Amino acid sequence: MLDQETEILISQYADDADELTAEERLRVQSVVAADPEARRLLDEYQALTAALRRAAPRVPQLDWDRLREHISSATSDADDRNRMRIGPSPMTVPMRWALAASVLLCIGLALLATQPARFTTGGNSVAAGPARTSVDLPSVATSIDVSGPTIDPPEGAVRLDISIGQPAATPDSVAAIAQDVVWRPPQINIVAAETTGQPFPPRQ
Amino acid sequence: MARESAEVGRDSAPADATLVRRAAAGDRAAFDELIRRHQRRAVAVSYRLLGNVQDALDVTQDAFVKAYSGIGSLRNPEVFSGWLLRIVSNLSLNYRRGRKTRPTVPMDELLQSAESGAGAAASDAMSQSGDPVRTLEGRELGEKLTEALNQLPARQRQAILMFTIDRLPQKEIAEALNCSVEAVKWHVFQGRKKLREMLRRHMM
Repeated sequence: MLDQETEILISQYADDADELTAEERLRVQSVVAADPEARRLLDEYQALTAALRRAAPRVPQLDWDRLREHISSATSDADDRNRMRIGPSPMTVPMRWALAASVLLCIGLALLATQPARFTTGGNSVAAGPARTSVDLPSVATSIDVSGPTIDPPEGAVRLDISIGQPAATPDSVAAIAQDVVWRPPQINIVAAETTGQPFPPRQ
Repeated sequence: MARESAEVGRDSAPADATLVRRAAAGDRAAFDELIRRHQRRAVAVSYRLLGNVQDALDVTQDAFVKAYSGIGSLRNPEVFSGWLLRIVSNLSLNYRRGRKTRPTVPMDELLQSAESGAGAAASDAMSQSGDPVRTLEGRELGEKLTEALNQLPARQRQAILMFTIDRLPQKEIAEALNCSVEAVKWHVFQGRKKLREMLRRHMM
């Protein structure tokens, strides 16, 4: 029984002995001389090679000079079209990768900006929002005068009362995550908005 | 067709690599010379895969247009031949998905004689002996071979067509199939082994 390596060498030898090294050719010749099964295998592969070459459809005789002219002309046309193309040139592969990377980077930054930063304390992960503070937020509900936008009020000034935190915070709304760490959902409530009919009071 | 090297004309004519560099720099005459050197092989490979001369000519033209537009991206100019054959193979395999609407290469102008035209298929090549029995056997074997070849996986079929029939160097086939030389040897061996088993009754 021939091993696969020998069979591969015999197949190659039948196909084109020139692709084998001198050492490989000698090995095939000696195996074939000594082993009738190897001889039969070589005969079969040689018959297959000959049949394949005889049976292969022959490329018709063409006017190769004229074909070259046709191809050259087509190449020229394509080249000219590329040169005359109006507008930006098509993106190359690296440009496409760069664009894709930029889009991903923008998405990543946007996600990062909208998510609260995380830190760890005592083995627990805690979300720290921008309004995080150690004081009791509901107790410091305050009002903020909004000035600055260049909108002409109907008459007088617009006053917005804004409180930060939950107006009626319950123990359930405050989660004690770890000792000394309290998390409250950040919240801004517009308590009242009214047109006072009076000009803004001077800043104190 | 003997196995040729991409190093055409070491004495006086420039090597492929030199022509590739010149073509990449915009030298159209250099690319025309590359067309002249490689068009026969490109047509042959495409023809074996498609079985139709007109399609093979169209694919060859497309392949050279693609090669010209991408020649600047060819990192190793020494492998131009294998690189071109890879384009030809890929285009040939994709060709049947849809015929092009652009004008095709005028095959009638290119055919040198009707006798050596597209009808010179497998069985015709084998039926040139005067013996009617041999002619019949040859025709039958040609049909069986074509049938068996079509049953092989695409890689094995391509490898056998390029190596056994077109007698291209394994290194060039490896470049064309985008795999290693060892993989080419394996594809050829596996394909030939299957063919031998399928056709044993007809050949021996």
